[in-house]
Amino acid sequence: MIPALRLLVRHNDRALAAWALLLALLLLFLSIHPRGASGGVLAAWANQGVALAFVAVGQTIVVLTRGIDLSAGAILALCNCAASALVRGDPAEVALGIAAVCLIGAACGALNGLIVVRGRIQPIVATLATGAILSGVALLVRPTPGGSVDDRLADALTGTVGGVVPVSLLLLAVLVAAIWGPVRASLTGRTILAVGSAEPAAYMSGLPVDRAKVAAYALAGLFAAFGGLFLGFQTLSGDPSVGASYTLNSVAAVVLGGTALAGGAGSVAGSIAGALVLRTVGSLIFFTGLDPMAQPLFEGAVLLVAVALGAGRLLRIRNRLEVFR
Amino acid sequence: MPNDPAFLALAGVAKRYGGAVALRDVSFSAGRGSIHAILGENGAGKSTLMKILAGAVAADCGSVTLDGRPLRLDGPAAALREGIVCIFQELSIIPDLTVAENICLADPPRRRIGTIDRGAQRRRARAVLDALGCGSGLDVRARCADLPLAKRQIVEIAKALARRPRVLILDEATSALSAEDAERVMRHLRRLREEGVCVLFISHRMHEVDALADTCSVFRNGEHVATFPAGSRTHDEIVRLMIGRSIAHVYPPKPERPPPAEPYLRVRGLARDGVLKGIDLDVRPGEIVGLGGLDGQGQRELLLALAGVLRGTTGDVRIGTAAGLPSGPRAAGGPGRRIALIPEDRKTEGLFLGLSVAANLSFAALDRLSRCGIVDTDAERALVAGLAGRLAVKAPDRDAPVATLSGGNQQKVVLGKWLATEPKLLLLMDPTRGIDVGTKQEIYRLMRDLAAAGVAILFHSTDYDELIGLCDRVLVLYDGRVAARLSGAEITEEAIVASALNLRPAASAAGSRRPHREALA
Amino acid sequence: MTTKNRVRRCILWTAAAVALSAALPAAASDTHMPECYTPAAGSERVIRVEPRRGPYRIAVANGHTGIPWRMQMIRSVKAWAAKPENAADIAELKIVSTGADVAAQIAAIDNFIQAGYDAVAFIAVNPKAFDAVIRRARTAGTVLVSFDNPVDNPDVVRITPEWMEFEGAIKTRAVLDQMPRKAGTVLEVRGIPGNSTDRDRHAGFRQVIDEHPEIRVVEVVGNWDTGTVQKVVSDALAVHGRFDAVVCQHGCRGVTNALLAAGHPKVPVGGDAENGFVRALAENGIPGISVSTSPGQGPVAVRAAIALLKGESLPALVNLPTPHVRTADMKPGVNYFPDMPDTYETVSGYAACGPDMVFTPDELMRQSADGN
Repeated sequence: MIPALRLLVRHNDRALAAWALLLALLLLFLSIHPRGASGGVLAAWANQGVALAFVAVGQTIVVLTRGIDLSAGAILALCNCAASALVRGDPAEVALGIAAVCLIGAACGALNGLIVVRGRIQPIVATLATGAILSGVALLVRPTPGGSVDDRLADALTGTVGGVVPVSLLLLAVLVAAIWGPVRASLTGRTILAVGSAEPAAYMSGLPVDRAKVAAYALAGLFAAFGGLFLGFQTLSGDPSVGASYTLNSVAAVVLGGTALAGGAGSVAGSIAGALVLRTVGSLIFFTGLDPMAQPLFEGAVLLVAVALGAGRLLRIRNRLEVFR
Repeated sequence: MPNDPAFLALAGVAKRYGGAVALRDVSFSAGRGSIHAILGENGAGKSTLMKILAGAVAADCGSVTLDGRPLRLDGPAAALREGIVCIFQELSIIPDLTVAENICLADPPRRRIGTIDRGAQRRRARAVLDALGCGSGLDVRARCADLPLAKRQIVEIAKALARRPRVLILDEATSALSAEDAERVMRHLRRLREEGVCVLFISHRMHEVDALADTCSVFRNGEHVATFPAGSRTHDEIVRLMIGRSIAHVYPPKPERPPPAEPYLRVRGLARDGVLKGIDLDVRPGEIVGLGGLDGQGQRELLLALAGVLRGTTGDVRIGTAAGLPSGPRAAGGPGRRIALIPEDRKTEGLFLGLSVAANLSFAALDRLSRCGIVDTDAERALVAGLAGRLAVKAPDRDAPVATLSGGNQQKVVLGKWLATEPKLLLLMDPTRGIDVGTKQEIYRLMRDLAAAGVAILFHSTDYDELIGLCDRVLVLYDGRVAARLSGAEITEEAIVASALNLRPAASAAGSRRPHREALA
Repeated sequence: MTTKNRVRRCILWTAAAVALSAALPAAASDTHMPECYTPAAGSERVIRVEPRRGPYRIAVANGHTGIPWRMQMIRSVKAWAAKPENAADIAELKIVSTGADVAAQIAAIDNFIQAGYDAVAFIAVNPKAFDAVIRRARTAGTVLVSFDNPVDNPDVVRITPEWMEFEGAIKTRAVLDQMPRKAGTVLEVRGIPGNSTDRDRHAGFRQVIDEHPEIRVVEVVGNWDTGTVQKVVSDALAVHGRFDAVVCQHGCRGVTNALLAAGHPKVPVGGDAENGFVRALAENGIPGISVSTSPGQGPVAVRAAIALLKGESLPALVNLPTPHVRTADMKPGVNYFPDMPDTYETVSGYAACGPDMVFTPDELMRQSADGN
């Protein structure tokens, strides 16, 4: 019998590698930051990564089903614009507005899921199309950047607890634990993993395959909505063009976090680390004074190295056929 | 427990795929508390029948009743709700989930709030494996992808049993198991019979059918042709029912004496940590050498190593004019060695299921069909036509996707693909697994013809009958070593079984070794 | 939002603004270098902060990367800071580019605030997104100056060309002047759709062109990108045959390339101040005008930040003078440079802002375009 801890490490090795990389980069960042480690520095660092982390969490859930959500950035932008129109006023109005934005995100995601399941359309095509449509809706909602978001709540959510722990990180942890945690431990969550791992087998085993797929896309929409809301709290406004970079970066974060794009295996926690790694790399670059022209190159190199390290298991493989598994 | 002979009943069930009739007006019943063998060639309709019962395929017409109640089987979930559970040949386990998660897959123990109780899940999985008797050495927390095929098949069986079936359907479900595990599974099936479960059992292994079934039904060309108590007909009679004619000689005759040529393949001291422990063997052109033994004694690794797939294999090897092991399948097939490996899993390693029969047949030979990197399509067409004719591949047309063919015809395509490269050394891994009798015979004849044309053949089979009937010499592996070298009249079932278990009861086993060792020296 | 709330919010904002400006009141006429930092028409508001002793730690937070204009802006900031008379005021100069992501740019400014920089000059990727970070800067005592794409926030100094005048009264008017007949068809090559700068420039163009109802306008979208402009202009030529004039926002070398390739008659073209475009006008004798939004905005903004730190006051919204030159007045080595790349911005800086704001190509090319 292998000890439980070793099994845990073996089954989550790539997510753990992503967290180790994040820790190393964060320490490097804090050591070269002129101010050093402080609550404010940590908050600024966390705030810039949390919106992407939210989207990456949702993207992970879809990727686990062997799908992909290319509308994630568009949902984020739409929800960001909706937030800039709805999340203001007295506390009750703010709460209602937040609920409405979450509902919009989940509904957009569920729509993706229904198109994929009922329409039998490849996820990459279906979400590319819905993404274009939702970008258009976002432009209709708010043709140019503007609007406003409740600034008291925004200050609270982008600040720190006790001057040390960034509220945004706590928010991320709590929302992921409270939503993905129970789903992951339910039959739907298991079906999400099973579908990505071997869809015919899942179907033949009588698992609720369609329900799980719709749920996965709806969750992705919901987490993209969280991203859009958080961006609203950061910028106190809505911007319809904000989403473009989030879609591909969320996929990159998922890959960095060790989730296989072929589905079935991976973790949300790894993707959070992946998202924060991508952002930390960006910060590192400008504090080290690297040529900004080299930034995409450097980010790509980090992605490649991280993924290659994750693929290090291939070096150990003795049977060459197993490479293709 | 009342033995209701019409516990599960089908009436007038028919199914056609496009123009092809898979099932024609099938009426059939099976009793509670019985083990009912379903026999027939591939393409006889057995698999379609099972898929209809499993809810994977909807029948065009007809009815299914269980315990007197008509069923609506509109999906696997519906069939499972009725207690009809299938164990498929193509495994239905989820590779990225753990053993426990797979065994409790669709109905895991849950806490009141709906989340899965992982502790209870592990205990339930362990209990099912223990009841089956195959659980030792299987960690329920291990990921299924990390398990060998035989263990995964055990998980597949345990997963079905965990659902407490009323009707249990096994489709070649024991084909990958070791002999001991297969025996344990059969014991458990008998126990289920006593508990009143209706077991439907598809197998091409007659000795399993003899050992297990109480009733047999034979299917042919989509029709149910006969049902009779097990043991009431001889094997010859059953085979005649299956193929509608009697077979004069199942195996082609062996040549009088092996050709005295230089060995094409010469291996000395082949080793790979823990699996192969110093194997010596020679294969001459024109010779069919069998590899036998219990499952997992190194047969698979030996063939993969010769094809250059395994890293870290040591030993003195000469193949044709080339020294040393090839660096990969591409080098293995190159002009120096001319090796072709027919892999074990035709669906993933042998075929491009979505591509046409013609494309599959010509893939391995594209190198020789190309001039300056451009494929000569006329030559390709001629090659494909030649191969398809020679192998008698039954396909609607040569542009049909290979996935639409029956298992036997798919295997013919795999063989044809490698024959196109005109190999000098053919490595076969259990090429007749899950294939109907008629196709098996064609494959035997083809192998013998190839040998007669000077090809050296190394042939791994899990079916002792094949080793006895087809091979000029047989090597039995045990624990990564050659336990016995048999040739000519020494190749008997007793000798193979005894060597496979590393016993030496028969004097001939000991006697048979020495001359071969000397011949090798 | 209820009306009551809106009123309450309005009062709060006004109170905050009054508190800020009332703390250190200054009349409009007292602002620093009014010939350069000219208040925008109708903008009375003045910004002044508590002075502090230099030398200062200054940061520049650029948004989009990989644009030649931005690279030249970075070079000119460095060239300006390298002049001995300016170097004395600067303890440290840090320049970063964060890309198109607004969250990254906010984090960069936050990092500078955290690190205790005295001032940050920035080109916002989004005019609306910086209210929270502007508040944090004020709390921390960091001076922000927004330029090129200014933010919509009256609490920071914003420096920008007057786009309506830029595109209308200067560029379109000059093109009309050079048309022999004020009639026919004019091609308008626009920028990135939905961008506020494109919207303002288009409005300026329409304001002038609409005075001539007999002129027909054809609009195409060039995305401010030379390649795109060349393609859409070629397409428009294929469809419409010929135009009587072209007014292009940016990437206008694409216009001259397309016209020359099509053998189109030499009609007036209004465009940007990239070397390639100006050369094409001058060397081919194409009538027209080059109107510049110079990358020299960078040093102008940095100098504004230093002036504020020294206690000077500045208008909250500054409209820079707009340098421009017609084809007839173009001189090699002055208005265009045969040895420089096509993407070089020929107007290196704002001469009206003083001799330290004019740079030679050599001065600029000595500086690297990276962050150090």
